[in-house]
Amino acid sequence: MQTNPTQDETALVHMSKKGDREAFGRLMENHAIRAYRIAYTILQNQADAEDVVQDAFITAYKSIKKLAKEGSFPSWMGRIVTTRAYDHLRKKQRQNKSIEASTSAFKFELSQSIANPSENINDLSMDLGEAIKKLPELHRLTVMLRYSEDATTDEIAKTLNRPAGTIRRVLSESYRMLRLYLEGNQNEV
Amino acid sequence: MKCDRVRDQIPEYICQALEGEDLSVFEAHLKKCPECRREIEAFQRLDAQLKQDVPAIWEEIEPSAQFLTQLKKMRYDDPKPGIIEFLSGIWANHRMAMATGLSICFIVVLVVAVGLSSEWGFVDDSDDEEQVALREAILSPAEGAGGENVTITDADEVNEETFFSKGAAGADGADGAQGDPGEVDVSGIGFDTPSATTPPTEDMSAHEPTAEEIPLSEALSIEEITALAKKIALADAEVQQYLAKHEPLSIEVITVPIDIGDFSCNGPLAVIQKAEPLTNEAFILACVNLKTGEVENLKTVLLPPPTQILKPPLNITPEPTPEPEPDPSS
Repeated sequence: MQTNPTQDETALVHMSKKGDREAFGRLMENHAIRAYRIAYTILQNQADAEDVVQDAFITAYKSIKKLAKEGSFPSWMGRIVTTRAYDHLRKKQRQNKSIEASTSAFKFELSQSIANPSENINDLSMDLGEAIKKLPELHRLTVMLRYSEDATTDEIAKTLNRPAGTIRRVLSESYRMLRLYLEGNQNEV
Repeated sequence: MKCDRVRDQIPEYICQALEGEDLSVFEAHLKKCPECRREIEAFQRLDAQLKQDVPAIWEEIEPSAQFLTQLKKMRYDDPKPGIIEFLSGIWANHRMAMATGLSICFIVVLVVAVGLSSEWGFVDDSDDEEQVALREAILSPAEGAGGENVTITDADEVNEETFFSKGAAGADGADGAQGDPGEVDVSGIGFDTPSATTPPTEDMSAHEPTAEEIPLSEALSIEEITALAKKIALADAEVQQYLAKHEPLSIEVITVPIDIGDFSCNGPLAVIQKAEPLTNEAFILACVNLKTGEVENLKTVLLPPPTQILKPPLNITPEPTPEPEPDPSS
């Protein structure tokens, strides 16, 4: 289940809305790692993700007074981080002017896995982790939120500010792509 | 219920999102279709593996050691007075002039709003305040931790709108969209621009390629793209040759660019699954070019039998069998 705000956290949000910086600071501590993980999942870069999270918290501090539903802070914060991360990604893509900068096009290093079979039982974890990294950003983030927070598609849709139908379709495509990457490359005709 | 339709619903079934009659029909089909049962089992194994491994992958994502310290040191300037506070100050000093001016402005806004509202269609305002706050927050100048100004311009939001209204990835099939026709999320970041040309029922895309990467026709809907890709793939001579002896079990379309080793496709990709005589499964990957109406890249992948696909769960160490205690009487 996605992080649900406790009564204490709702109180922190309430105090933050009144300008209590210490309360906001505690909110920040509670959500910093999650925010970082969301940003990193999109950007795949530690420095960029940290910058984005800092920007996101500044934005959140400035606009928290207008947050009507205090209990929805986690998904609200998730949306801010997601938006900031995508903004950062687009700026980098414009700067690089390269298709490779987009995680929509990617290569799965099949030759390495075939040439260097490992007897390590954790191989499948590594393969799965690599396969997930190769998914497009939204697919990757959807899978990570689904299975790390046990989030429902509705909860993910709220966090990522997408229609629930889109998230269901994204999850469906993710399953198919992961199966292809994990299974479809083992044997060729 | 046809296997194609069932295959489309497998991810929903895995997520326990199927209910009521849909679930009954789905399960009834499974009882009499061994191929679909095998397909579900394969997805269930993937689901189990994801449940097992993703939490650890998620927790391995850690920021630098000084990240939290830097966050705590960030300076938060008090938000500048909003427009309401600013106007309140002016109102107090110039009431009459403000009243006249505001009345005129109100009438103009009302006329414009009535005229535009019919174009925009239904808007989901269930999170109106939050979305307004978010939009204002994003539009307001923000300072990075290093003191540099980062401004989110309307142009950026328009670009995001362009991203998310084109080339939606979909494997919904031509039978009907799996999205929520009545659910429109046009509020919030980048989705509530007045210039949005997408109709209210269009699903906001899950695909975020740059403008130059978008391989799909802007004129086609997701359903049309899927149907067209299937049609082109099945009409291909090579595909027909492979399927000459066996009917395809399922045909799915993936519209996201994909790269598997030496096979790449910018989309759409028709994934045709068929059963081999020896119960092995084969996928035919047909990369379709909608403009030429041809299959431009083809690959057949043969899968091993299901029992060999995934290794046993990780970190299973058999418990050592305790040695029998020596007989004290000996």
